[in-house]
Amino acid sequence: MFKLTKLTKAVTEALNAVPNVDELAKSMGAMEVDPRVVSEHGGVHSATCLAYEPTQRILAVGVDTGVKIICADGAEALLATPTHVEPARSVEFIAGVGRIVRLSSESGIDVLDLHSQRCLASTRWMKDATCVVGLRDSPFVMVGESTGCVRVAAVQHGPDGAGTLAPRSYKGEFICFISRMGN
Amino acid sequence: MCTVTHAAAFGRIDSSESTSNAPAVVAIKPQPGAESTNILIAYEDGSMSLWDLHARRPAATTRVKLCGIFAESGGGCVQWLGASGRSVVVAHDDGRLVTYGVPTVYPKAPVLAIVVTSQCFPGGSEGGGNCTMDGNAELTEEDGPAPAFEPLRRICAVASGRFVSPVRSDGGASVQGAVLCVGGEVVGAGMDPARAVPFKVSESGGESAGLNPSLVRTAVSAPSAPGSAPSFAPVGPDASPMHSLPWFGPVLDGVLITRVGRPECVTAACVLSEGGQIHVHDLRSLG
Repeated sequence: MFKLTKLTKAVTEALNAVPNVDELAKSMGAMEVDPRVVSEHGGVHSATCLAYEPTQRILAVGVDTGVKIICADGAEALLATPTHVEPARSVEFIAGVGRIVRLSSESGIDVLDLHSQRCLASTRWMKDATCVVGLRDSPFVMVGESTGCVRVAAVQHGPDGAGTLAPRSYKGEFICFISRMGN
Repeated sequence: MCTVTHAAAFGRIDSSESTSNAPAVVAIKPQPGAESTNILIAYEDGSMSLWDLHARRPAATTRVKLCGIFAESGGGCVQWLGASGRSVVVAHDDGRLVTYGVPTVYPKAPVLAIVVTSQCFPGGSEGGGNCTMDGNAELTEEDGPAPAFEPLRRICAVASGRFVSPVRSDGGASVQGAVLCVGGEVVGAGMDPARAVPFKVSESGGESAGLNPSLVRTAVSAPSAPGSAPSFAPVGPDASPMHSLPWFGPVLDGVLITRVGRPECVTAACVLSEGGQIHVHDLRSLG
């Protein structure tokens, strides 16, 4: 009888024993894990805004994790935002370059490429951004602020896809570009 | 580094207006056909400026402010009508849908005016004292106090490029496009269905030409832009100017779907409702 009780206690202790995760991790060594979204299917939860591109017949749905793309042939894709996981305020196609610009409710701006399905630039705007529009056939976007100002920024590619939106002066590069476009 | 301030957009370069009391920018829309030259900037107080990027000065501005524009739309309350760059439609926060005529020739001086060409209340079919079943609300002064409307939150506009390719022709009433409205319902109404508002182009032009009197509550006092002007008028088979779409919950956004190769021909409306519901409505009866 005494032995059975002792055995029961030992089994219970073994079952309730908490594994030492740190020691377990050390014994397994460093693992190279790169979690990422590969594909997404199904409904569009937390969708807040729409945009439609009539030439390629693409519907863009602004969701909190990025932009959900729904094509006319039934293909779907999620262009994920790397950092701005918050409700989308607007999504817009940039004509001529196959890009989408997304503005979040917390002034996060993402420029997403349709072809590579990657985020080209992602920036938390320094002021309260109220609207954003991409200029046709150009790397420039114009950002409207709650202060009444309109500013220019350009997509600046970074290493490993970590690009940013760099504010640009009205003079110089921007004015040269639009002058070429106007000719 | 600041590009265009509110004061500069209205030609007040030496103004003492600071950014703290300037109205917020609610929309930036490059002018169709002149995307690299002119951008239309709309502000929260309802004022607008067509900014010349090359000359760095306003090419045209609004002279009067009807009312404000919903600030949280992310630019969705202002849309160019078609590819002509001559007309823009604006959703105001008093539920009013207004088209403005934009000049296309810009002399060095003076700054030209962006003028009102027509206006209507898309939510008017539910308001007023003597609404009719076909959606024609009699919004006249004899009806007593006018109903108040919620702000129009977003719009999507489609029109033929030069107003010469009518989608539909029925006895001279040509539909050149449609506007899809989100919001603008009567205050207190339980539902906020999206509404498709077809419009036509008045060939005669001139002041308030082609406006449907049953939809107009405020006289258009500003002179109209030269040439033909868009106007909202009953064009459907039941003479109903507004087409309220089925309601499946609070509406967040909507876009108009056009026929492939014919951007002026509206075939469907895609409406996003709360909970991630997306419904596509057939609008081919409009065309």
